[in-house]
Amino acid sequence: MMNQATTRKPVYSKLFSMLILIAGAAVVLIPLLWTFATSLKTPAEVFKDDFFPAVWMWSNYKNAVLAIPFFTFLKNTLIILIPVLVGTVFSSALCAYGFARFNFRGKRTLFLVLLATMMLPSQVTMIPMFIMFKEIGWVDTFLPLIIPAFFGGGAFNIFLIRQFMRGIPRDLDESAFVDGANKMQIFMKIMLPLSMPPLIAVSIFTFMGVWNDFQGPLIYLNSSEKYTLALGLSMFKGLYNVEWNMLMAATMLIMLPPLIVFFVAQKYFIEGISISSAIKG
Amino acid sequence: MRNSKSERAGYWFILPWLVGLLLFTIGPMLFSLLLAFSKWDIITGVQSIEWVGLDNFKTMFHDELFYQSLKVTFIFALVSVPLYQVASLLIALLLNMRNKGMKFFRLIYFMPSIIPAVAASMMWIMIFNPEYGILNRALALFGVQGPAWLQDPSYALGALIVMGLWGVGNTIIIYLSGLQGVPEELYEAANLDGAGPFQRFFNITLPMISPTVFFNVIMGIIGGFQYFTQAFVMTNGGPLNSTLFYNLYLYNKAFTDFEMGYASALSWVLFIIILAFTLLVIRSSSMWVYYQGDNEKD
Amino acid sequence: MKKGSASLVMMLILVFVLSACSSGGSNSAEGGKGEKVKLTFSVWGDVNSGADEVKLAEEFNAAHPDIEVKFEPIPSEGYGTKLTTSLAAGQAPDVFLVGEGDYYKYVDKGVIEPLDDYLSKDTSFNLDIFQKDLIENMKIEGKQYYLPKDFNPLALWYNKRMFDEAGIPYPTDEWTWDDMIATAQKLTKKDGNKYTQFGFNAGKWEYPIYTYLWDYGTDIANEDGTAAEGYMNSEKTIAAMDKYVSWSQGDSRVSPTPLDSETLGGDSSMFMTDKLAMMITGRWIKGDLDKSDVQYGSALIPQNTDGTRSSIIASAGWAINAAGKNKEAAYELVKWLSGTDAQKLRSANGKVLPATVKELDEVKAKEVADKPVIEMMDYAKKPVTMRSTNGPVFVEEFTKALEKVLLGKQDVKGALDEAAKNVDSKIK
Repeated sequence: MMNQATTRKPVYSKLFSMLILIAGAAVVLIPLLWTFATSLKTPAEVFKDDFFPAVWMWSNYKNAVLAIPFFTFLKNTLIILIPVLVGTVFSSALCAYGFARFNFRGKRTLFLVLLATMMLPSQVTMIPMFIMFKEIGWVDTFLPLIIPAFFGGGAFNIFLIRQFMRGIPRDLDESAFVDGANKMQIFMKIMLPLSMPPLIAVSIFTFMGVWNDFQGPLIYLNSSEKYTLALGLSMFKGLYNVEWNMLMAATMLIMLPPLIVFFVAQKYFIEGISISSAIKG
Repeated sequence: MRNSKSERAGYWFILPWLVGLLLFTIGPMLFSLLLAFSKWDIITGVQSIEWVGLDNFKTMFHDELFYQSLKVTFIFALVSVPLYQVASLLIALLLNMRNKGMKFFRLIYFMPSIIPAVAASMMWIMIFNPEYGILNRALALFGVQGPAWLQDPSYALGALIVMGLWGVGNTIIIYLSGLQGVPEELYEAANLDGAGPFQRFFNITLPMISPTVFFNVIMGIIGGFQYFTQAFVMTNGGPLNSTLFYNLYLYNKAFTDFEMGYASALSWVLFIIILAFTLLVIRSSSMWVYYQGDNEKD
Repeated sequence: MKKGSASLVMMLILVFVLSACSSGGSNSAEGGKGEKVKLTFSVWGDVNSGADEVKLAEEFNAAHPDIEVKFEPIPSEGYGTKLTTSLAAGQAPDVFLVGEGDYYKYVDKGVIEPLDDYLSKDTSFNLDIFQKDLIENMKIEGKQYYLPKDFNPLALWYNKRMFDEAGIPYPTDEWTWDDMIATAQKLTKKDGNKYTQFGFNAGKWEYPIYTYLWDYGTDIANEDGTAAEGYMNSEKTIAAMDKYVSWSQGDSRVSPTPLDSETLGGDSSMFMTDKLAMMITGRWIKGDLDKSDVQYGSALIPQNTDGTRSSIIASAGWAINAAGKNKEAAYELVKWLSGTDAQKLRSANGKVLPATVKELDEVKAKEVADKPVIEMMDYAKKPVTMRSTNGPVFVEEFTKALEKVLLGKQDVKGALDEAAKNVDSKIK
């Protein structure tokens, strides 16, 4: 039933779509360009109107790395990041499966409680939480920043994965059940692999969250040798002055790893597994 | 089938969350509920917490800034939630195309979410600059005299809403991952039947990603009502309280005025508001959310 | 795999992580090295000046074998949050830095230990070594609570290149506010409809406005901060503010509006790009000015025609945590951090002024740019935020009123009357 009209349309719509994308991308990129340009300026140029610096001061990058214990901060950030990533992905997937595939008493209420935990502004729970962690002696350690990740990894993530899992047809579960698999095996062999898209999304968000987390490390870490990159970045805002160009250089550097992670990760959830091939296989 | 032995296995799976709830979450939440009925100036330590019953709520009733911040926050939430959802879904659809170059486009649209909030705010202050900022310069090309944006009480809130649009990368990612779950065969079958792009979207895509829409709308509501960081960094509630977001007001009450009791009371009022809206969405969901995996209602 | 085993696996990973991390972390409150008293002290973060504090800590530890201090810098933008949070949990550092705007606030809540008893018992340390106005600033209601770390007096800064270009002589010590505005008018230039440069910045920041109001014998509050009516909206204040506001409005204006200064990058960047000829601000600006290519000078803030001159000192003071466990030792630390040697170390590179009189005199003799800045200290007065716990309410209402006037939404008298009313009802 293909006729001339339908074959011509796709070309126009593709072109139109690309145009919109490009326009949007330009809008999105401009602020970033400004950060990059500022990172290469001398302090005097920062306040001038010209968009680009006269001389591109790549030395700002070297100085930014040297001015603060960059690699120590990087190490600390990773010490927090890796366990949190592992803990979050696994525990949120487990809990999401529980909410998605089981029908136990009180599930509806518990799910509502799950959502409700996100509704209280963190500004007020922050201090009671801090007092609690202080009482058990975890202040000035990485523990308050890592341990909670193993306990569900956050309502946001559980909710996200649960939504996706509920969209996976039960036929697969049932045929596996018939073949003698228990719930755990169904989880590991069917649900997890099929849930790659939201799992990758959760990984990306968790990465970003830990990488840029300022407030958590701020209040729980006292010794400056334990500081993370996010805290280190703000040391460029001094007692009285802000070192804009160095701040922007450090910002660009700090943005690099998440960018790379995203670039690599998108392969796994965009060209992801299609449900149909799973059914066939 | 409900609560049979195999169904109760569900408790095991959600055990980590349950334990975490009891260990880390319930305690602080209850503490803050207590504080809502107390007076506490924080820096003198826990021994100075003083019960005052409903006083905080009585003060709230007469607090002009309470109403102002509610107004600002409501306007923001009610405008931004639909706006951001539609925009991010459209962009996600575009980014879902399987071309070679899409990798870079996806990266570009996601980049704003990677930039630390402070750097992003500085950039946007420059962009909104009435004389030299790119926004007004672009508008000038069309002969439009741009307003003073962040300096103008009538436009500051709008400026922040526009700025939020730039940062919807996270929502786009979620829509993208939802779009991945739509079975190819459905599209193939639709094509064979001669369905056009609009029909494909409304009859296949939308229903199939409705769980994702459900997620994004609820998170949009929760996040929208709790909007804080940009207002904190860029406008601090000004000019003339036109960007005094509820969470910002709350934060200032707690950390600047040292009135933690009042701040806690404010936060619980917000909690109830968000809960109410969320319940509304949940109730309505049986009409428009379709889960391919089961027949349960939310 | 059994049903519950997934959760067990998680717990196992947890145990791993716990053991890995607790070996890396340490609780700074633990004793352990013999009988040493352990103290911590904090300032808000700076990539460059943190080094001085580290050095001072090392020297202190060497000189006091029974005390061990640790320096814990905190990022500036999180300082308030962290200090508040840790005070709430009883976990705050033994000594911490406080900015002058917060002096009163913390004392009022009783979290700062008064120093008078320690000082009276101490025969080796005398407050006379400090500049008297500065130390006076750190006294709240007669008791000494803070000792100086560093400070920034306000002064008048002028752009030499712009003055030279217009052939106008630099500001003098005799200048009155009218003299300054007259000169500012000569330095304000237009190109068609757009202003290309301004003479003086009459902005929203209340510190310069205070010096102006004080010169005219008025203030936004009464002495102990208990009344706004009759002060914030007194005839003198209204008249003075009418004049102040006129400097940034209308055809004969000399100042950018807050809108303009945001447009052109804020007053200091305007100053550095030769778009603003004069501004009143604190000495902290010197760091930025020296990095750019602007040619600048400093002068005394103008006086009133009757010779009244006023100024403000922005400062940062060391405070002892009233809830600390080792206050005697903390006192030793505070002395060390504010004493002569510390002042010498910090001011060695000229980035900050020393708080001790002897060193200040040396700087005055050598540094031309700092001479007027240092002299301005003799005229320092305390703003209401340093006189009363109601201070912030006054400032908030006043700023709001000013904002409304500058946005053209209300006239000066109306706005100030309303502000005074609001303040008085709030502080009841």
